[in-house]
Amino acid sequence: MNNLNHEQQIYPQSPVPAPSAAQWRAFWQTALQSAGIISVSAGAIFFLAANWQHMSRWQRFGLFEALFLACAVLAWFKPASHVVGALGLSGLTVLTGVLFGLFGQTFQTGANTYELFFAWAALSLPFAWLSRQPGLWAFWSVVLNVALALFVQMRSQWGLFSDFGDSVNLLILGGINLALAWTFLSQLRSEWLCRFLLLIAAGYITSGSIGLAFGALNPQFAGILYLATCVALIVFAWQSKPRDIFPITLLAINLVITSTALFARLADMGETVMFFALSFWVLASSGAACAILLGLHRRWEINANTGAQRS
Amino acid sequence: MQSEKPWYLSLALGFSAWFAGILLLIGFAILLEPNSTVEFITIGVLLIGTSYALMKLAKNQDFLGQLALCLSIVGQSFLIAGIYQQSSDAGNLALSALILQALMSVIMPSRIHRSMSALFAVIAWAFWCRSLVLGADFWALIWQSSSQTQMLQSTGSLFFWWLLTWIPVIALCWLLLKQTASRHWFALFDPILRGVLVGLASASFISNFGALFGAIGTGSVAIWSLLSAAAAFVALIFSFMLRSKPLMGFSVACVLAHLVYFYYALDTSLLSKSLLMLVIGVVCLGVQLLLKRHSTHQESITKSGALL
Repeated sequence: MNNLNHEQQIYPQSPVPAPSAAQWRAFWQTALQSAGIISVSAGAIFFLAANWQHMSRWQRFGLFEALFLACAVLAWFKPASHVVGALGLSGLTVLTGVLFGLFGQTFQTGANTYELFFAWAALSLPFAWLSRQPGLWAFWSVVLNVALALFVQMRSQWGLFSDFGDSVNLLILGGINLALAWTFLSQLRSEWLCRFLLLIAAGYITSGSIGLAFGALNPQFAGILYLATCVALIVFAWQSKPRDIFPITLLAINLVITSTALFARLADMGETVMFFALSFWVLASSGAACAILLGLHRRWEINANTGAQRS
Repeated sequence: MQSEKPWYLSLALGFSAWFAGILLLIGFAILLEPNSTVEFITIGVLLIGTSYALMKLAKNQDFLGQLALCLSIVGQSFLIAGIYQQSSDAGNLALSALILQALMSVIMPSRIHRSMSALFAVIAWAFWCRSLVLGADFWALIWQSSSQTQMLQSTGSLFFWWLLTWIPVIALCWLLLKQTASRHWFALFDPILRGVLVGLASASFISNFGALFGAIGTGSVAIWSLLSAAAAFVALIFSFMLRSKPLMGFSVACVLAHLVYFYYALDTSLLSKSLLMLVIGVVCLGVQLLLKRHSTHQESITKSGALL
């Protein structure tokens, strides 16, 4: 059984034939069409930006509300599975946020930024649900995550990115993203969307666990949350059909990083010895994790192929 | 039955190897504390030799391969630091780096390493050409001041230096492309070609980043960005001939980055810029429609000829 490494997946093994005349025509048509669309779109946006200061507030609102109405009409008359319907729903989702931003800029209400993002996520939820498009759900998830991150930054004692943040809040954010990933996997069967959210979750969980390793508020509660998220990642991998080692790979990376942070904090050594010890720890833990993950990946692949052959 | 290692596992292993390699090397640097040129060069040669041996042993091993890559890069950094200790002339430093990277791109057993060395060679070439214009001071070469940019203010001289720097690179790409068509030379030249293409698309940006922050609003920087976008588009064409989607994607990103900077550096009003973009966009779409009609017409002629 060959086990191709990443280098062998990038580089071809033999020369490729030169493109045909038809392929060259397709290349130039695609290049010119893409350049044209991007240039016209950018030109339109910059034209608007150049005249923005000269527009009254009613003209500004009128413009975006007319766009909103046009997207609503497209979404009404074409189904979500049609490209026009999907564009309409996507436009509605984006323009909801733009209108909120414009409202906040024009009428200085004193609202917090996270309130704007929460309102955007709440009001655009029906559009994302109607579309059933993984891309739009990914965008909606990013808006929700920005809202949650801003909320945590405002409310937590240390702030999100100083002194590794409030571990408990970060682990809760990781848990929310895990729940979203599970929902999308079961409802939409979209692997890339699920992995995207798992990656966000892993980022939060790792930040939280590093904070825990270096000393955090409520360490017992943070420890229980951390354990729960680790178990959740393992269950995720086992319950996926077919089984997927991606969640366990993320867990392995987290364990290597967290154990290294804990080692750096607890080990009482000289500076030079510390660097050698840390590097050997990373080598050993990564090597062990790799061996386990590869073994698991091969076993699950064999089981999946055997199951496919029987059916 | 083939079992391909998942790309994210390879990526994770790569990062671990790099992290472990850097920690190891910091430990060695603190332990050995090199001071003289001989010490730097000795450490550099030992690290590169170790990397070579690891790459020979690595074969399908991502972890060992990435660790070897990390050791090689740090070894090369020690070599360059040793040369800098001897002479801080930027031109000599760039030329030494160019020769070192050119050798590495041929000798090292790893295809990723050889591509990376080819990319570094193109960057060193760009810096060497800049040193011919802007002088030998190392830090002035990196962080080009606006007064130095005044040296390139004349459009003619800028165009001349751009041609001097990038036409040889484009010619090299063309030559390598011809060589890789042969099975005999494919394994040797294909990784080098890919590295040079990445350099052609991005090295103008990388080697000029000091000027990009120091000379906003001068016409010369805007023109340089436009010419660099053209070079990145040539890289896109070569990448298409190689049928490499990752290279094509990277070249497209570089074209867009250069064009964004061109419009940012252009010394004119936002309204003029927007109208320029609209006109260019309409022209592109018009030419695309004409090409489409022409190819449809050609296809209908071919089909009617075949029927007869």
